[in-house]
Amino acid sequence: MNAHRDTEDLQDAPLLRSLPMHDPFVVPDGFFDRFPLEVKQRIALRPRRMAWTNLLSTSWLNWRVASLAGALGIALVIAVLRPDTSGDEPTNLSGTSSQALSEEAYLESLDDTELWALYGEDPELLTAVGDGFEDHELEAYILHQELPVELLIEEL
Amino acid sequence: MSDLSDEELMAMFREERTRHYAFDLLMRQYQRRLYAFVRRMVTDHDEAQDVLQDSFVKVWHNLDQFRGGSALFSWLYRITHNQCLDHLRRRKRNVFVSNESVMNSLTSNMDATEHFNGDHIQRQLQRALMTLPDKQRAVFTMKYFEELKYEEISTITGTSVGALKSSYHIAVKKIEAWLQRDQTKSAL
Repeated sequence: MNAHRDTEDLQDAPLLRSLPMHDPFVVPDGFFDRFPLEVKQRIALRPRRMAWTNLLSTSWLNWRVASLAGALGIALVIAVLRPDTSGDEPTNLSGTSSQALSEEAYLESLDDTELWALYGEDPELLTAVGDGFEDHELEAYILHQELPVELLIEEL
Repeated sequence: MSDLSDEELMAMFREERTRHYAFDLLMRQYQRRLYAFVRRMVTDHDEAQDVLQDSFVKVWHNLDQFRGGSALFSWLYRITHNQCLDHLRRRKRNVFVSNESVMNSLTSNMDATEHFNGDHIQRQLQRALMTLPDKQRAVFTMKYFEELKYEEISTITGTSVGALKSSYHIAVKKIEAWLQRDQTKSAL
């Protein structure tokens, strides 16, 4: 191992000057044999990058066209995504209010047990659901849905 | 296998049928020197591997644009140097990691002998190196370990020779002072 050359820069640094030129970092065995292949594998995963950089050549006109296209694209996205602020209550095309839609979506997200629990807390709702159903129809529904037996007693 | 000249490598790279072979040769010719530089900067092998892979992928995508204004090695070194600094910058930008944590993680793997087989003073030298700002550390590494000329380092870093000399001079003073302090502590 050779010591560092006695250069002008190290004149006032005797310790640095005296240190041998030694790389103390351990490199895993075979690393440099495998490394080129690993790089080529990474390149093979992204072949399109070559075509992309060819499109964006140093041509000034290409840069201008690309910038304009980008600006138009951004404007289009903003126009499409901009929320509709007209009217007191936003509605969809069928005229249903957004509040009704969100309630409906909430109810649809519940499973049968949760729905029954929800109706059970609100007697009016329970009555509304029960209206028009015969006892045997309710019984069949509860048994089919494997709901708690207590509901049978409450309903029938 | 003797190294090919820059012109020979570039000529092979420009030919479609020999492009991959030329790139393979280029990697085998320069990977060790570039790895050594990156490893000094980030200390950890896995990080060095990532940075070096990123660098060569960038080389692959941009080698067509190399016009021979500088040596090919300087051009490769420049890409690797920039990738290194970007990597270290991204690391520090992580809001969940303090600067002290970054420093500790950069030096911690030097304590494990499977990663570092230098003696005490070389370990201390590397620790001292990690206290330098990233750009200054890069300059010191290129000058002190790689023994590159200031003109070459100027091409790589885009910094003037005068600024580089100043930066290196300050780095040498800092590190020498660190090593002297460590020697004094060890003697007590």
